[in-house]
Amino acid sequence: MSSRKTGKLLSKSERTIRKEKTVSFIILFFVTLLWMLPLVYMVGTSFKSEYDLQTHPETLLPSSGEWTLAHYQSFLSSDSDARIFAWLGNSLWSALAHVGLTVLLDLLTAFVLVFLDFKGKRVFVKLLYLWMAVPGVIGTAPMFAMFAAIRNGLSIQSAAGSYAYIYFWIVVPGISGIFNMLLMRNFFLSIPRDIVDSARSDGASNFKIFMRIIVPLARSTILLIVLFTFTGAWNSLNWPQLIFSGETSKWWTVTMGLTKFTDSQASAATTGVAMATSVFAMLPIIIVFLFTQNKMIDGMASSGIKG
Amino acid sequence: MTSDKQFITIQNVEKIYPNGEKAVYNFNLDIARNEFIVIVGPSGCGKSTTLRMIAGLEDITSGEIRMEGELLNFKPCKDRKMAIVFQSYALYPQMNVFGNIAFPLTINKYPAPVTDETLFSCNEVKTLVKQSNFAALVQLLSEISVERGGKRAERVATALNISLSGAERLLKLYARFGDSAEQWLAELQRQEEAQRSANQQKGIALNESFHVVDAEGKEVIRPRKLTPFEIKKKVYETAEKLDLTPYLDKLPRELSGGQMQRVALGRAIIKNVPVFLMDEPLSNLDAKLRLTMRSEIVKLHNRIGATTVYVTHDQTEAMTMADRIVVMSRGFIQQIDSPEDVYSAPANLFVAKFIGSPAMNLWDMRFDRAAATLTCGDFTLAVGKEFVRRYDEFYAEKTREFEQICSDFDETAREKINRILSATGEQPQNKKVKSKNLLDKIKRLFAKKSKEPAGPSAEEQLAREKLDALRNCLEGGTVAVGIRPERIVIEKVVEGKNYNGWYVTKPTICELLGGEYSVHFDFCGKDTVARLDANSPVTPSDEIAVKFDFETMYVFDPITGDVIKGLTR
Repeated sequence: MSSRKTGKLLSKSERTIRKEKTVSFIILFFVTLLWMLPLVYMVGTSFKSEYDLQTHPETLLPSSGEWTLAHYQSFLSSDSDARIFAWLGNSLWSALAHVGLTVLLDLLTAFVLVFLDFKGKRVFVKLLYLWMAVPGVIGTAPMFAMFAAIRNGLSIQSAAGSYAYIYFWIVVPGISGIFNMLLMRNFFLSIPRDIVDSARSDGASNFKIFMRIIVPLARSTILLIVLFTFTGAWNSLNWPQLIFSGETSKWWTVTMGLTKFTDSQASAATTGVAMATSVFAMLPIIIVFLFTQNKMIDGMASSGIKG
Repeated sequence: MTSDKQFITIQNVEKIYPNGEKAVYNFNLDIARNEFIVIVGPSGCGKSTTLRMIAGLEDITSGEIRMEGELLNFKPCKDRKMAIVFQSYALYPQMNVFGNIAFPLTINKYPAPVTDETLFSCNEVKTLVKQSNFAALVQLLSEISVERGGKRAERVATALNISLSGAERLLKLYARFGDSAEQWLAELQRQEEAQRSANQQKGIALNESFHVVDAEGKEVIRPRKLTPFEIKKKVYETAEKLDLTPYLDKLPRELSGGQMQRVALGRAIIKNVPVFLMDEPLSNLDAKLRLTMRSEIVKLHNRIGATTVYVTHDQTEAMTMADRIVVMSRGFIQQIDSPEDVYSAPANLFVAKFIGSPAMNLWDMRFDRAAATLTCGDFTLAVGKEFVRRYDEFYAEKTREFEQICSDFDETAREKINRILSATGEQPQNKKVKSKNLLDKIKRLFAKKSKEPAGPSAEEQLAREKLDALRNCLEGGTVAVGIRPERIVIEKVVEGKNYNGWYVTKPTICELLGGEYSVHFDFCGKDTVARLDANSPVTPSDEIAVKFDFETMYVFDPITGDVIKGLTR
């Protein structure tokens, strides 16, 4: 009602803008709904009772009065196989190590590529682009061969040694993601050269320029990379699955653990637990997203350059 | 031994960029101490490149830059004792104004004598207690002591103008002994003696100002970082000078252009270096602010006794600020002279066109050697015998010069031709524009390389053409004749007066500039500007009479761009 009243007061262009906004809102709403459905189904199902799961697998939410925490209790108090906290711990530290190393490597690489001059710089950048064109899957087989060969060569016996060795292979190969490096490089290219020149004439060494000028400026890009790599590391499944084969389930990551509930042996009996575990496993990602998303947007406008 | 005249010497400096483009040719300049040098030229003339080479931000391809006799070529930018102000201000966006100004101080170490802090501050406090009003001192301390926060010592130090450690000592004394002066002095005495004996045990010797001395009695100088308090003091001093104190907490993006410019200046001043390099620092400001900042910069330059190299494309800035102007075009220095001389005695056509606002009036006129006149349409101007002699001399010399160039066309000759082209404003035609089109690239790749020897290069051809043209000029030819607008004698036509020998016409535009008119009229097929006093109002419907005095005119050779005749003094 009120919008129709004010509508008369609006100019034609304003009405058009309003119309466009309404249409895009409706489209976005349905797309979002489509994306949200599995998520809602997951959360809803995790609260369904066994009876509900059997009779109404198609509903999004539990029937009224049938909400239960049984599945959560089941995996939290789980005695035997589902070691959710060990998995969470494994995932968490390896993902954090992954993020930290990636950001460090990306910052250093991009700094060298943008602000320092050396022979073969352009060739190097071209190689990076070329490397990005190679699908990651191609590397899996040779990498696994290397993983196994080196392991045999080192003849690691102790459990701690094996654990460290496996997680080295979980964390390290992933940090050289080219996309993030180029993302950082492109951001560095957008930093006016004058700022770096000015710092240099103020007496700053390359290290000081890096620490005092460039890294603080790159905060939003760093957060973006943190978000990308954290979700990537947290969700990675193929590679861990490959190198964890035959290892004790205590060492698994969360995603590995979840497959226990979704593979061929999974039944309706474990569906609830699977959903509850998934919800639990998603929490860190949501937390990271909440922390990074709004900081990612600001900061881009913080250039003190005119001209 | 270098004199003050050669504070910075730049010798034969050239710059070739990695892509083969030559940006600066044979740059020679001696900069005297405290001189304000302005390098001026159109965009792309190599002026910024020159500045960046002096600053050390750009490699020097060949040549030498020295400061006080010391070779700077391979000295990294950060050690050159120069401060740069950029056109974009280049403030660090994530730091506030304080952080920006303090930045150079926070990262550098400064040589300073090693001081025994304990003894120095004890002595400071003792003198203070003995000499100043003790009651007032206690009053101040009691006021500051009750305050909260960790900056109490800083406040005491600022209020009493003593060192930070002295202030800390005072506060401790006050907290421990209250307002008993005797106890204070006794405690200080005790502390001093303890420190002295400790020094004796370690074998540290001090002089009377508590600086550590070595075996020969010389002060030991070590580089050290400034303390946060020292930095704060200096930043506040600098901010005070530039009226920036209210903005110290703000981020660069919250400032206006003029304020950002002042922060950039502050960051340069605080380094306390002898040389300032400025790269078009005023280009981003609006007209009015530019005017104020212009005088601010000159004042600043004089006050701190700096040596400044200032790059601009604005000839007004160059004229108003410079002690000496360096005019550049296409990488060549066209002229180095005082503003007066650059204006009144331009070395070539380029300088004549570039300097002056409104620009010099220039016409192509026909020189008739036999009649000793310059003609343009119906208009004839007698030039006198002296000019004919000068003309003959000039062309004989130039012809000889070109014959030499053409006889043996090498790299030096090519550079000479390029230099001449930069003065006349002609475009060199040898640059074949390589198409970036992928298809063309592939075609080029497979194209047969021509077997026949390359013909004379475009420059050589040009040199020959010019030589022919010069030879033709010996019997008279076309010359470029110029006159400054204020030198044109002009008046409104009065009935009955005889205007024989005057050029009578109607103005096309009359612009009132306040005290005077800028009168435009067509002469010799070109728009011509003259100045007329605003006392006699003039409109495009009025008739004006114009008289040219050959004594006040310039004559340039359009082939080489050089001046044939300047002002007759």
